[in-house]
Amino acid sequence: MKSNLTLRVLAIIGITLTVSFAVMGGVCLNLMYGSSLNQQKSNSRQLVSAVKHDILRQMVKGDLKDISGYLSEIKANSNVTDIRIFNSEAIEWSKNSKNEVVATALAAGEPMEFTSEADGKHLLTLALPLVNEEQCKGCHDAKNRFNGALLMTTSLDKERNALFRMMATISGVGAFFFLVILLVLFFFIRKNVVSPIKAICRHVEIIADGDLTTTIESSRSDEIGLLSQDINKMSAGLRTMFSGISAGAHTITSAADYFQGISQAMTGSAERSAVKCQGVAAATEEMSVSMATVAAAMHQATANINMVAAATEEMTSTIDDVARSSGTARTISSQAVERTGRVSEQVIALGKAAREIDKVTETIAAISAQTNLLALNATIEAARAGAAGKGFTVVASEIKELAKQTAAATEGIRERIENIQISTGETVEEIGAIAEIIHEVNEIIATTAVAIDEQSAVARDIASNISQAAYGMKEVNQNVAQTSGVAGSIAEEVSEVNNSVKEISANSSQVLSNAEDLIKLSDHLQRLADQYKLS
Amino acid sequence: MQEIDDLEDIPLAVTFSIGSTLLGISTLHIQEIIKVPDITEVPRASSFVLGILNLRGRIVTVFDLGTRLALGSCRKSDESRIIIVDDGSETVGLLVDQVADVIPIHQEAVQPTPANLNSLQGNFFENVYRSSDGLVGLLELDAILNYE
Repeated sequence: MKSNLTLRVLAIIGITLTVSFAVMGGVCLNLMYGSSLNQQKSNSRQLVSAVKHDILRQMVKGDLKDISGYLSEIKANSNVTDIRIFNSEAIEWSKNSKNEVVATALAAGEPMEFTSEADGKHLLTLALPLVNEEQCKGCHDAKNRFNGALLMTTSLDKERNALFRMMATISGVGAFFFLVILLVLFFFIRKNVVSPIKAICRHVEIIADGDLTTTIESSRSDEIGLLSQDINKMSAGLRTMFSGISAGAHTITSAADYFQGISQAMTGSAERSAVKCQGVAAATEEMSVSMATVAAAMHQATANINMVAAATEEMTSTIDDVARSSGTARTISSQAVERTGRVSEQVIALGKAAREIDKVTETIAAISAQTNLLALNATIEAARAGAAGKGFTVVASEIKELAKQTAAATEGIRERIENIQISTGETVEEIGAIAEIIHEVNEIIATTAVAIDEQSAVARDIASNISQAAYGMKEVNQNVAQTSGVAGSIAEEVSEVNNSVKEISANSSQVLSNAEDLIKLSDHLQRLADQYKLS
Repeated sequence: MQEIDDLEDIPLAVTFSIGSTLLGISTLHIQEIIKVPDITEVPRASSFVLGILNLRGRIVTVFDLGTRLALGSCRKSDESRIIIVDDGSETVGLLVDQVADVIPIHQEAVQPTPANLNSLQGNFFENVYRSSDGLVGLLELDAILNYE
């Protein structure tokens, strides 16, 4: 296990390092090789340029025979393995073979380079077309763009060998340091990673065996230290948890016992509830019937109230009429009082007038008495006169009769006036009595008017109260209708409650069996918790 | 005219009442009848003398005829009258309660005063006359006027 982990870590590191060294080496070599190849190409171009220049000079001199010697000299003094001259038809000078590479370069009109390998040697070949310049046109045809080409081949082996030597040296040194690093890493990992993990593993095995009392001693602050602390925390947590589970199992056992009791009680209660529900259902039905009766009675009451309201309104208007009439009666009786007073005054005036007439009759009576006396004296005087006074005696007798009649008539007038006066006095008294009666009537009417006003106000209040009562009755009607509907709902609800009670009964049986299961479970939990050492 | 003719020979009498008694005096002695004027009392006179009055310049003695006839004193009222009489020697006024009438005295209706009445009351009544209104005692004027 331990060695496996260590080896695996080392293998990963080794593979990583090897691959990275190899890639770096390959890239370095390739870059270096490319660099030297470019150097070579550059040298070759300079060289071929110089050769071209020399050849051109020699051609201008007309010294063409020395060109072969010059080429041989170049071959001998440098790493140029081969250098040849071609004409514009890509046919080698002094030979009759055509070169395809040179032909291609002439057709393209620019220099061409390529590498090749022959007989284990790495070669760089350069084809350079020779431009037909002004100085050349003295000898060569001016129409041609190129007068010929140079083909030069150089060896690359020297640079390749230097590269391979450098690569071998770097590889050897790298392998040595690689091994040293692996060894150092091995010891480092074994001390700092594997040993602490092994200690933690041992501790976890102890925990797995059921001992939760131990702790790991570690003062490190890295991930392994944190892991040790976390395991300690986990151990403490598990300790707490199992203590809790143990206690919980006890609680669950007692709770399950309690549940058992409760569910049995609940079953009994549910049965009693079912009985009561049936009672409630019957009562609700009776209530529904009663509500229907109440609704009918309320309907009747509403109709009655409406009739009463109408009657009260009529009564109010009637009372208003009576109030107006009583006001009119009051005015009329007041007028009657006034008129009675006036009549009384007139009757008193009549009495006075009668009394004045009495004085007149007294005067008349006095006159008649005087006349009578005069007639008597005349009679006496006539009698004394004898025969001569006879006629006068008759006249005196007539006058005396007249006086008598006057006196009788005056007496009659006087009696009548007395009667008038008596009647007048009685009339005045009667009128006074009438005036008093009318006054009383007036007061009674005034009192009645006030009472009727009050009654009118009261009747109005009654009317408004009755209209409010009618409105209230309407609301009561609605409420009764709602209550009736609610009673129906209650009946439905009660039947639902009955179903619910049955469900409760079934569920409490289920709870009973679940409580038994729970007791079994808590016993199991207790046994499990007892397997762990907690203190 | 028949009545006037009848009057020719028939004497007349003035009838009057004192209290409820109807009395009469012949018109031959009567001067006039007057209303009761102011009467001046006379001291130390007889009980039936009321006093004196001035009748148009003449002094007339006034008797209470009721008292004089012992019928109770006459009370002065609107009905009261004074009958002025003259017997030839003197003029006297007689106060009566009420003057009734002047009636003719028919001789067939005149009856003498009952004798017992004369003896008891003195000779005041001349005779009794039956009128339509009842019995009228006709007075003897001299007896009334003469006194000691």
